[in-house]
Amino acid sequence: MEAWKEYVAGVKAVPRSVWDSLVRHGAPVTDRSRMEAVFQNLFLHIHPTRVHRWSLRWSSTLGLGLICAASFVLLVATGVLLMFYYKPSTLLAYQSIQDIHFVVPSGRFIRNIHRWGAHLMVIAVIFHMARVFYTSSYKTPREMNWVFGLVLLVLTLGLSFSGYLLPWDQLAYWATTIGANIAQSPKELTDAAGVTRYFDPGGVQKTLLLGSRSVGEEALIRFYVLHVMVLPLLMLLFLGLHFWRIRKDGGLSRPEDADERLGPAGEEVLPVFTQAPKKSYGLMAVVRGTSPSVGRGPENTVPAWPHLMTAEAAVFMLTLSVTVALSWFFDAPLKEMANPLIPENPAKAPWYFLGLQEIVSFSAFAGGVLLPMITLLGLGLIPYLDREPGGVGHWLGKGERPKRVFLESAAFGLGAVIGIEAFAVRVGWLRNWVPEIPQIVITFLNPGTLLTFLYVAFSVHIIRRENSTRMGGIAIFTCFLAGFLVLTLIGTYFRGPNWGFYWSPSDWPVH
Amino acid sequence: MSADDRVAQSGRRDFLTWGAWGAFCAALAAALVGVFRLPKPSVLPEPSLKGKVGLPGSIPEGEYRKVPGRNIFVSRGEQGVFAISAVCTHLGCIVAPSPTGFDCPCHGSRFDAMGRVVGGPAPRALDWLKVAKAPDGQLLVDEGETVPPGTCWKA
Amino acid sequence: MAGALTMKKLLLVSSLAALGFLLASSLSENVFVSWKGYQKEYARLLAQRARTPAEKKEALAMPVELRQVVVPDLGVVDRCVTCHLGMEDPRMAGTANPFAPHPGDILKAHPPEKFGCTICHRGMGAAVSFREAKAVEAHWDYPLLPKDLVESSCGICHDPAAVESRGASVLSRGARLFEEMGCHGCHRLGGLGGSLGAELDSVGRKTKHQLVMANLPGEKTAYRWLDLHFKDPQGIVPNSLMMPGYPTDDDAYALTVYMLSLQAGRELPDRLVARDRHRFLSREHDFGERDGKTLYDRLCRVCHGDGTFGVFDRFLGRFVPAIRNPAFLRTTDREFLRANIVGGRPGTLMAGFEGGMNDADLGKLLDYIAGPGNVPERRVETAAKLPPGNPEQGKRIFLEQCAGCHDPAKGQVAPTLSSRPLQEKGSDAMILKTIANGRPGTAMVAFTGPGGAGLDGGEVADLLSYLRTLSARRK
Repeated sequence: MEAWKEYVAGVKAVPRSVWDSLVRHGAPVTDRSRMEAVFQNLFLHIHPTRVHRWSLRWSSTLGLGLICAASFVLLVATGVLLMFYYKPSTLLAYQSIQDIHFVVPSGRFIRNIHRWGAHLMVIAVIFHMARVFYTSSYKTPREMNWVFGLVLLVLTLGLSFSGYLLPWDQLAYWATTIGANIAQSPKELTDAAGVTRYFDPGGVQKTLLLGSRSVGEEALIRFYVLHVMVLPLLMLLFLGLHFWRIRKDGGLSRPEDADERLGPAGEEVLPVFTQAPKKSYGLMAVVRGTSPSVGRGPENTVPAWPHLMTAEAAVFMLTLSVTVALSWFFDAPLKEMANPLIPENPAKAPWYFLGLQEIVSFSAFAGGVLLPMITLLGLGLIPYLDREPGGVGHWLGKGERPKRVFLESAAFGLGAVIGIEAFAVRVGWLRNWVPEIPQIVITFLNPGTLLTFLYVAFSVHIIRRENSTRMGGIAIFTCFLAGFLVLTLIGTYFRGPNWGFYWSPSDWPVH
Repeated sequence: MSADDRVAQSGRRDFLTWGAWGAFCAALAAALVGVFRLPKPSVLPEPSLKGKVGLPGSIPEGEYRKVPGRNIFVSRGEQGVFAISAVCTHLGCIVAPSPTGFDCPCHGSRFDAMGRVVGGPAPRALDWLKVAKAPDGQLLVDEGETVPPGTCWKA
Repeated sequence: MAGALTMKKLLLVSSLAALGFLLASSLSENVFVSWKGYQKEYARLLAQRARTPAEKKEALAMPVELRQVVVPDLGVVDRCVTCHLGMEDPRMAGTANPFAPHPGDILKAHPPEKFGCTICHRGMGAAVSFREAKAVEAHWDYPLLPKDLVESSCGICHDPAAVESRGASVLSRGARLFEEMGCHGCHRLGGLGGSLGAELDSVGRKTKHQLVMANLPGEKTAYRWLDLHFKDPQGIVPNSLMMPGYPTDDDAYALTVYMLSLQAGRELPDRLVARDRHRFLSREHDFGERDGKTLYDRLCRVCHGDGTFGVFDRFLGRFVPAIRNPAFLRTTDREFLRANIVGGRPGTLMAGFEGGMNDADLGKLLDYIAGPGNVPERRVETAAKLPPGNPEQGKRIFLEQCAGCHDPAKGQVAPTLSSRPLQEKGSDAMILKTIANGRPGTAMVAFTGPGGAGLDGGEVADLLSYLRTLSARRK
C-alpha cells in the first residue's frame, strides 16, 4: 500500500515535478536564483548573469544593436510566414504576392512588417555601426567584433537586396537587373585591357548571380535560395559570433571612469551577494584583456534578470511597435508585374544602394565594385590602424578636440560631396567635354573616386595636424557618412527619368 | 521618505512590473494569433466544388455518367436525379464503374450500384452528393455537401 | 543608467502600442471589410425576394465567405463574385450593383466558371475591394474597362464581323472604320499596311507605360489615351504625324473599341478561340473582297485622294503626287510604280510598304493605279538622243525654274527629286517628258515649247544631267 500511496502522490505531483525538472532554480527572487535563471537557460545564457550599470544607460548604446537583432527576429518570423504562400516562379510569384496582399489572413500586414522591418534593420545597422565607431568601441580587445559587425552589415544588405527581387514586380525586376549588371562591371577593366574574351570575372559574377543572361526564372530561384536559406544561416552564424564576442571581450565597452560617473547605485539595484569577491584568476585567464571587476568588486553590476531582460524586451517591443505602426499606415509597394520589355524609368535600386547608383551613373565598376571594396576594406582596417588607447565608451572621446574634428569633418564631407555633385550636375563630367574619352579614364576619374581621394587626403591632413590616428579615423568615417548620406538623398529624391537631376518629382517629364 | 511611502512606491512598482510584462505577453499573444491565423487560407486555390452537370433532361436514365473533369457519377432513377461521389471512402482513391457497381483500384473496396459497401476495407458507402437546380435551369452538384443515400432531386 | 523604472515604462508603452496596432489591424481585416457588408446586404435582399419560406431560409443561411471563379487553363482567379453575388440569379433583376444580374444573355455562351470575369472586363480579379479591383490607381497593367468598352474583348476570340449582330456592333463598326478611313496607309495590321505609324497587331495590350501620357488630362489609362488621341493626335502626342481631327466622337469610340480588341500574341486556350476568329485571321483582318480599288482606298487614298489631280494637302503642307494622273501614267512604267510603293520615298511621309503587302495584293493595286490605259512593265526609251548636258548649267536652271517648288531647302511643296526610286527606276524619258509637257491636272506646267517656260533642248539636257547628280547614292 505504501507504493500505491506513493504512486498517487506522484501522480498528483506531476505538474510540480515536471516544472522543477525544467526549471532547476527557484523563482528568480534572490540574487543567486536570478543569475541561475540566466545561466541555466539555453536561450538566455548568451547573456552575462550580471550586467554593468553603464551598459544599461540609454546614451551608451541607444539600444541600436538590440534594434538590429529585434528586427532580424521579426524578419525571420514574418519571412517564414510569407514562405507558406510565396511561390518562387516567374509565372506565380507576382500572383502569390497579390494573394498575400488581398486574401491571405493577416498576409498584407505581415508582408508590410517584413518590408518595413527590412528597411528599419538596414537603418539600425548603419546607426549601430556609427555608434560603435563614435564611442571608440572597436578598440582592443574588440577589433575582431568590429569586423564581424561589418560582415553582418554586408549580410544585411545582401538579404535586403536578394529579397527585393522576390515579388517579381517592375520595381524588383529592374532593381535586380541593375544590381546584376553592377556585378558584371569588372568588365569595364577587362574591356579596357582587351582581355574580356579570355578573362571575364564580371561575366562570371553575373552568371553566378543570375544563372542566365538576364533576370528570369533561374535568377529568381537563386535569389530565393539566398534569401531564405544561405544568407539567414550565415546571418545567424555571425550574429552568434558577434554576441559571443561581446561577452568574451568583456561586455559592452564603457569608459574607465564609468563607476565614478555612475555614482552610487539607486534603490532599484538589487544588493549583490558578495561585496568583496576573491579575485577571479581562473576567469581572467580565459577572458582576454583586463577583467572589469579587479579591484573594484561587482558593486556596479546588476543581475541580468530582470534588468537586462526588461531592457531587451522594451527595445524589442519598441521595434515591433514602430514596424506595426508603419505597416498599419503604409502598404508595402507592389508595382506592375515584371515586364522585361518596358524598363522602369527611372529604374532605381533599393534606397541604401542609391548612393552607389549615383556613382554607378558615371562608372559601374567604380560605383559598384571599387568604392564599396575600398570602403569595406577601410572600415575593416580602422581598429588596426587606430591603436590609440583611451576614449573608449565616450561619445567622440574626451575633451573638445574630437568634437571639433567631427564638426570640421562633417562640414568638409558635406561640402565636398555637395560641391562635386553640384559641379557634375550643373557643368557635367569628362564625357560631356570629350565625348570619345575611353571609359577606363572615367572609371578611375569620376565624382566617386575624386570624393574618396578628397576624403582620404583630408583625413591624412587631420592625422598630421592633430598628431592622432583616432582624429584621422573620425575624419574619414564622418566624411564617408556624410558622403553616403548626401549621395543617397540625391539618388532617392533628386534623380528622375534617365537619371536626370530634378528638384522634385513633379518636374519629371511624364513620358 | 517614510516607510509607508516606500511601501506604497514598491507596490506601484510591482504593479508597473506586472503591467509591463503583462502588456508584453499580451502583444506577443496577439501577434501569435495573427501568426497562426495566416496558414489557414481564407479561400482555397482550387475551382469551386459546385459545378453544373447539364440540364435535367440530359442525365441518362438507369446508367451512370461520369461528369468530365470531376469525380462525380450522375444518373436518373425513378425517384429523380442523383449524384454519387467517385471518391472511395477508405483512403480517397477514385473508384471505377464495374458491372456490379464500383470497384476501388487501391485496396480492393467494392461497392454496389447504389454505392453500398459489398467488400473490402471501405468503412461506409460512397457519398451521395447534393443536387440542386441553378437559377439558369441547369443541375448543380455540390461535391462539398453530402446527403443521405437515396436522396434524389425531383423536378 | 536608465532607471529600471523608465525601462519598465518603455516596455509598457511600446507593448501597448504594438498591441493596439495589432488589434486594430485584426479588426480592420476581419470586421470592417467591404465585401462582408455586401454579402450581408445581398442575403437580406435575396430573402426579401424569396418566393417560398425554404428559399428565404436558404438566403439567410448563406455563409459569409470569399468566393471566386478559378479557371486553371486561363490562369484566372477572379474574386469579383465575392460581391457580385447575384450575377447569375434572375431573382435579383432590378437591384443595383454589385447585386444585379449580368446584363444580356452573354453568360449562357460564356459561363463564368469557364471564362472568368477579367478576360472581358479586365481589372485586377484577385482583389476583393472595388478600388483595388478597378485598378486604375493601382499598379496594374490592365484596369477595369468602362462598361461601353467591354465589347472590345469580344474581338479577342471572335471575328468582329461575325459578332456584329450579337452584341458587338460597335466593335465591328470600328473594324470597318479602320479599313475605310485608310488607317492601313500608315499602320500595319495583320500584315497589311504602311510603316509610317505604329504596328497595331497588339495595340490592345499596351499599358499606360507604353503610351505618351504627359498631355492626357484626367485618369491615365490606355483606353482614354486611345479615345482622346483619335480626336486630337497632336494634342496628346505633340509632333505626331497622324492625320488630325477626322473622327467624330462616335467614330473615335468605335475605333477605340476596335484597338482594344487587337491583342495578337496573347496566349489563349484553343477552346476559347472561336472558329470565325481563325477565318478572320487567315483573311488578314479584311472585310469583303480585296480588289485593287479596295486596296487603293485602304492604303493610298488617305494621302493621295483620288489621285488624278495634284491637290495641295494642308496637313502635309505640300502637293501630294497625283499617282493616277493620266499624263503621269503615260510616261511611267510598272517597275517605277512598284519601286515607289515598296521602297517609299525616303525623306517624305511616303514610307515603303515592303512587308506590308503580299505580291498578289501589289499586283492588284498596280492594275488599279494603271487603270484602263497601257502601262507597260518597262517603258522602252523612245526619246531622241540628247547632247551630253552640263550639270553646272543645269543647277543654275534648276535654281531659277524649279527650286520654287522642288527645292527641299525652300519649303518644298512638290515631289522630291533626289529620292531613290526616282533616280534608280525613273527613266530619263519620263523626266524629260514631264519637263517638256508638264503634268496636266497638277501644278507642274510645261517648260518647253509654246506656252512653256521656254527651255530649249540643250538646257533640258543640262537640267537632266544636274537632276541625275541629286541621287542620294551618288552624293
